Parts: sequence; C-alpha cells; structure tokens
Amino acid sequence: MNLRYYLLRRLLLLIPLLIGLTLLTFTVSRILPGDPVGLAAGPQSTPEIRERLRVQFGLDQPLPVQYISYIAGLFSGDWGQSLYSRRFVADDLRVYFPATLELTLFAILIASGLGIPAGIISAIYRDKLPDQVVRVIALFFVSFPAFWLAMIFQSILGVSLGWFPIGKRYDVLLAPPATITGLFTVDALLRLDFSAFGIALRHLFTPALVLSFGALASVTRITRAAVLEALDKDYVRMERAIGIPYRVILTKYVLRSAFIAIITVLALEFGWLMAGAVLVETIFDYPGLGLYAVESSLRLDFEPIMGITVLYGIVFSLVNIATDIAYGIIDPRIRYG
Amino acid sequence: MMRKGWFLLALLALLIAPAGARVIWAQGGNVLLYGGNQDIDNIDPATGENYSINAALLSLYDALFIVRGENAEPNLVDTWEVSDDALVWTFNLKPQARFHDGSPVNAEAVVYSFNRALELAGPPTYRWSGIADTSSAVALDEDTVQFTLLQPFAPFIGTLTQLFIVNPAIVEANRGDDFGQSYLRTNAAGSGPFRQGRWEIGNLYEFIAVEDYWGGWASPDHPDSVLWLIQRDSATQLNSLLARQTHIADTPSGQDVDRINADPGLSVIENFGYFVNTLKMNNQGRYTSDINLRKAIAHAMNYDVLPDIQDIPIQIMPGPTPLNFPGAVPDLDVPTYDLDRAREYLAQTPWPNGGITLDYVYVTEFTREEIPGLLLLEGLAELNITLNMIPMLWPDMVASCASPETGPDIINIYTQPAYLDMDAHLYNQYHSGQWGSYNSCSFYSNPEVDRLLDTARVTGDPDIRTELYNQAQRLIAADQPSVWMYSESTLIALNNCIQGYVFRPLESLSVLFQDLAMVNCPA
Repeated sequence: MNLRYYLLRRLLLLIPLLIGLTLLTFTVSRILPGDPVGLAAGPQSTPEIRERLRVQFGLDQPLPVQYISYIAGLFSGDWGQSLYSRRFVADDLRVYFPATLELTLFAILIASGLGIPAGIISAIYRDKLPDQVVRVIALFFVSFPAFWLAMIFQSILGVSLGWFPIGKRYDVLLAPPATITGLFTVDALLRLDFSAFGIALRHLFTPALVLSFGALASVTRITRAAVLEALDKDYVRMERAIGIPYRVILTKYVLRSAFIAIITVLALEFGWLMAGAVLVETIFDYPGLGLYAVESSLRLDFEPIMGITVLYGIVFSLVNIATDIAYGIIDPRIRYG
Repeated sequence: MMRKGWFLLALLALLIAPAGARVIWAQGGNVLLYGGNQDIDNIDPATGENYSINAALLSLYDALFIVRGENAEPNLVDTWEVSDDALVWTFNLKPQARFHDGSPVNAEAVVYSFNRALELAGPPTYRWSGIADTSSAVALDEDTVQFTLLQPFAPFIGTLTQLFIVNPAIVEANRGDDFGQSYLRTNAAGSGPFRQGRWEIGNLYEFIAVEDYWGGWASPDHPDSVLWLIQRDSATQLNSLLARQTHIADTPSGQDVDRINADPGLSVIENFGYFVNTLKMNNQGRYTSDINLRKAIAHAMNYDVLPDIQDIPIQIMPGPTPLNFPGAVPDLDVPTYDLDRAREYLAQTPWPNGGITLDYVYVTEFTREEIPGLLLLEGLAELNITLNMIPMLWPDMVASCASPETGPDIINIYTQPAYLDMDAHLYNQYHSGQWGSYNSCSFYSNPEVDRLLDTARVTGDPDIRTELYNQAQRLIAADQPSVWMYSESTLIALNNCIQGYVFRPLESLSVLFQDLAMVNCPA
C-alpha cells in the first residue's frame, strides 16, 4: 500500500472515529446529573427564564434531535455556543488551541532536546557516574508536582531574578504579532519580527520548561533503554569489530533504530502534555485550551466540552498518523497497511 | 561544535536580554494593571452578569443608577418621581449624557435597552420578571422615561443599577438574527467612562479612558487605561504585585496578606460585604422539616472556632442578614454553640436519642465549605446524629435544589443579594414562591413571612417597609430554616500609589475604575 492511499484511508477512518467520540461524549454529558441551565441562568432566575434559556439552546428537544443537530452543525462549521458565556465554541477554540499547541510543542522540544541526549549518555555510560546522575535528575523532576515547580520557577526566575515574565503569552503592554498560525513564535518569525519572537519565546520558556519535566523522565528512560537494546545487537558488535568509528555507529545505526521507540513515547507524551497543560496554564495565566476545558467541565457547559473533545480527538488522531508515517521514514522496511 | 555554542549563546541572550531593565509601567500614561481572578466572558448587558462582567459594564456603559459605597446614586438619572403605590416611576435623564459616538443617551435608548433585556431574558432580567414587560417603559420626551409596572414594586430603583443603556443605533446596525447578541458579547455600545481597547479573549481586556467623559472624572490622575489581566492563581497574583507587574490583585489569598502588607509599597484592604455562607436545611425534608431538629443542629455548630480555621477573615452572622446590610435587625436571638440546648431541642423531636443520618452537601474540593461540615459532624456526633459528608459538583448541587424531593438535608450555599434592598436579600431565599433556585434550597414556607415580603414589595413608604422587613427577619430567625454561618471578607491588594478605592459591599469585587487615581506610581 503506498503512502498516499494509506493516508487517505487513515483520514477517512477519522470520520467514524469522531462520530463515535461525539456520540459517547454527547451521551455522557447529557445523562450526567446537574442543571447547567440553572447555573447559567443565575441564582435568582425564575422557572420561566430557565425554560426560555432551555428552548433557546435547543435543550427542550429530544436527545437524538439534539445530537443530529449538533453533528450537522459540526460539519457546517457551527460548533455550538457556550451556555454560560454565550460565546461560539469555534471562536473560543480558535483562540485557545494555538496557545496550548505552541506550549505543548515547545515542551516536547525541550523534553526531547534534553531527554534524548541524556538518555544516550545514560546508555553509553551504563551504571557509571553519568548514568546515575542522569537518573537522579530525571527522578527529581518527575517526582515534583508541576504546579509546585511552576510556582518555584515563577518565583525565582520571574520575581527574584526578573529574567522571565511571571505569566501570559506576550508582553501585556504590547500587541502580539498579527495572527497567521496563532502560534506567536511562528507568526513572529514568519513576519521576520525578531523582537516579537524574543518576547514570545521569553514568555513561553518557563511554562514550557515546567511542562516538559513530566515528559523528560520518560524520554530519557526510553531513549536509554532503546539505545542499550540497539547497542546489544549483533550488527553493532559486527560494526565495532570491523572498526567503524563509535560515533558513526551511534548516530547512523543505533540512534536510527532507537528512534522508533523515542517517537512512540514522544507521540504519547504529546497527548499527555496537551491534556495536562491545565495546571501550568493556570499558574502562568496562559490562555490555553486546558483551562477552557476545566472551566467548561465544571459548569457542565455541554457544547464547549463537545468541541474540546472533538478537537482533541482530531489532534491525537493526526499525531498518530504522523507517527506512523515517521516510522516508515526512519525504517524503510516498515510497510504501510 | 563552535557554531552550536554560538547558537545557544545567541538564543540565551534573546531570551534574557529584554528582561533586565524593563519596568512594566514605564511606557507612558497612567496604565492601571489589574490582576483579575476571572475572565470577562460576555459584555452584553442583557445577558452577562458576574463580578468581572460587572466591572467591565460599569466601565463601558452607564446605568440609570450606580452603587457607590453603600448607596445607590443616580447616574444617568437627574431627578425622579414615584407614585404613592410604587407602580409608576418617572425618570428625568441628564441631558448632557452622550454615547461614545456622540449621540445622546435619551429616553428612547433607555426604553430600547430595557425591552432588549426583557426580550433576551438573560441572568440580569430576573429582577424585572413579573414586575415589568416590554410595554412597561415609555419615552415621554427626549429626556423623560416612565415605567408603569405590572405590579407595585418598591425596590425598583435598586434594580436599575443593572440596567446599562446600549446605543440603539449600534445594536441595530449589528442586529443579525440574535438581537445583536453576537456583536455585543465582545463589543461595547455604551456611554461609560471607558471605551474598549484590546480585547484578547481569555487573556486580557483593555479599557481606555474617554477624556471628555460626559460625567466627568473624579480625579485628574485617573487611569488613562486599565488592563484587566486574567490571573486565576493567587500565587501569580502575589508574585505580580511583588514584582510591580500589577497595581491591583482582586482576590489575594488570605495566607498572603501578611506578606503583601510587609511590602512597604503594597497594602491589603479587608472589608465585609454581603457574600454570605449559609447551611440551608431542607424544611420539607424527612428530618429537617422538624423545627426542633433544625434548632438542635444550629446549636451543634461550633461557631467560635470557625474564624480561626477558615483561610479567610469571616464574621459570624447575627441572623439571616449581615449586620452591615441596610435594614438588618441587630438583636435577634440566634443560636450559639451550646450542646446542652441542642440536646433540649433534640428531646422534643421524634428522635430524642438521635440515631439518624443527615446528608451534608458541599462543593467538591472546596475546603471552605467542607470545614463547616466537619465542625457540624463533630457537634452532631455528640447528639448521636451521623452527618454524611457528600461532595458534589456545583451543577449537581444546583440541580438538587430543583425541588424539595431532591433537596439534600443540609446544603452549603453562598448567597449575595443582587440589588441594594432587603427585598433582594430575603425574597429569593425565604419566599415560598421562589423554590427551585439554589438560593431557596431550604424550601422554607411561612405564609406570614410570604405576606410580609409581598407587602413590603408593594409598599412605597420606607418606614413601613423597614418595619415589615423587621418582622419578617424575626419570624425567619425564629423558624431557623438555615444555619447562618458567616459573611466573608473581601480582600483586595493594592499598590499604595492607587488612591480613591471605595469598598462597595453589594458588588464587593467589581471595582469602579473611574473613581481611582494613580498618584506617583513608580516609573
């Protein structure tokens, strides 16, 4: 099966997957106890006002009608409306998603930038001092809760040293770069505005660093294990025996083999980080999707919850597809099917 | 290798370089940086209402009346008259009032805004539900508007602090198919002291001072602009204040008060508003319908230790109404922590030896609501009554208050009156016609209290109304429908360069930015 056909098939499979996902989320959110209309209408609302709101949002309709209407809207770009803020979900997602995506991508970048070399060093110096040091550091960062690290980093780097901002995505007194992708660093680079890039990067650095710690330990450990496994292979021993320089063996053969495992863990961590960004977003006032998801869930605000679920579903599926494609690029023996 | 080293150095320089010399408000103008705990979801006056939305509405719009300190003052209104039966209200508007586009804020605009609010039936509208309809308001001339209510309603003026006047021309130009809701959700069409600046959803909101504001400014040092920065975490609010990256934090943690006050440039102002914590007992429930059991429960609560263990300053309630609320009765006979009296009351119930189990519902993970439950659990254990602590998500709690059948035995609810009148405090909590909302989750019913509250609503004479409310409060206190816990303090942390802040107990967190002055703020 060639790549194009494989891609098409995977993308088409997304449709039933998303329908299943929406059906499940829709059913769960509607059968949960709770009165989001009463909450949205306010503490002193009368039964008439609550009923009017119910009608206005179509919540008086039978559940199958509500679901079909939601799905129809989804395909036409109408992702519904928040019962609480009355804002359109698609508009909110357009604002919040790029922020979380940028944060997660940078966290993954940091986790892989630090974790992969650390894992390699750990494997090369197996059970020696560098290995022990790397393991202790990895354990240290993975053991501390993200919110605590966030507050410590904020306090030291932001308040005491004044090196990094305390929060937000951009300098509050300046307008952020005009939107192209919604990722401030990327937009600044696309507009060749290096000052804006620096500002966006400074704001991104601390939250992304804190967020990356959760993934750092996994990436380090998996890299170490994968490199060790590859180093034990017969072909590596053979290469060493015939005198190929160790550096070449490592970079050309061992790492290539280890990357399958590393990419798998990075794809998994991407999902975890995206879903787990909420604490970091809260502490750094980072206007992202995690915070939006939590607030919507606490209010049982149906349509934002549905919108976030669908968006996460799409993103995770795309990340999985990208990972599968990457497998084939790294190891051409892998066939798509 | 060398190239990589240079690249890393350059990246580090890029990251750190702009930080050192930068003091955030040194960039000209009085920019007030406000750390607000909450997003400003929606600035449509007809459908949005909470403390952050109100702070925005008070800045962008003008209402007929405005709450300053503990009083409702005329704002757009110049003079007014009311008929003896509190049915017909006539308001003369200030002729100089102007929308931001220069058009006059006239009687037609008031009628338009009022009818739009009624038609959209958003959260602010309950104030006029059953009181007025879309035929009630009439423009008598350019500057005179008359409201003929469906029934007499003495506290009408109090409700008009939430009637923000929109510019009909702008709304009509953006009417769409939802009466301008999509537009007004994020765009202002008002006449207030500020107009909209940057409006970054979920991040920050900018209010730019209208230099020639028709109402004038309280101080020449008023903010030229206000930036509302969403800061949900109290640690972030603290750090931003300490680093001089904000001037005001609106919900600092009680635990940070000493640290903020230790900074010579900062202060925490503490006030008690009308935000009240109450344990509502289901007066129609299997057990708590018994008045003696309710009194036993109220006497089993250890009020004395509560101020020491809550994480925020509190004042124990002297009855159903906070003492600083206009019209509160000060000398009510309210329960104290007294287990002997609790046993006496319990002896008069069908369960003289206890042996029953009551449910106590509170918001999941909300320690401030869990603590009173734990204290009550301890007290009731002495009476051989088991308290079943049930944490619940807020929407589920709201749903449980829909009817007496679903209402829990005891539920922890915070309440706050919506306008400055005893009607707003008592009616929705203690009138039996209000069952179904979480404010009335005690499902209290006393025909005499209903009669007093109904009569006070339609009575114009303030003295007679006061007397009616006094009687009602005494009856409610005697019936003990709830355990009245405490009013909670409002903390606000300010840089000392901010002056003119006046506490408003009704909307304790919604700051009037137009009244603030920035004097010698650090450059």
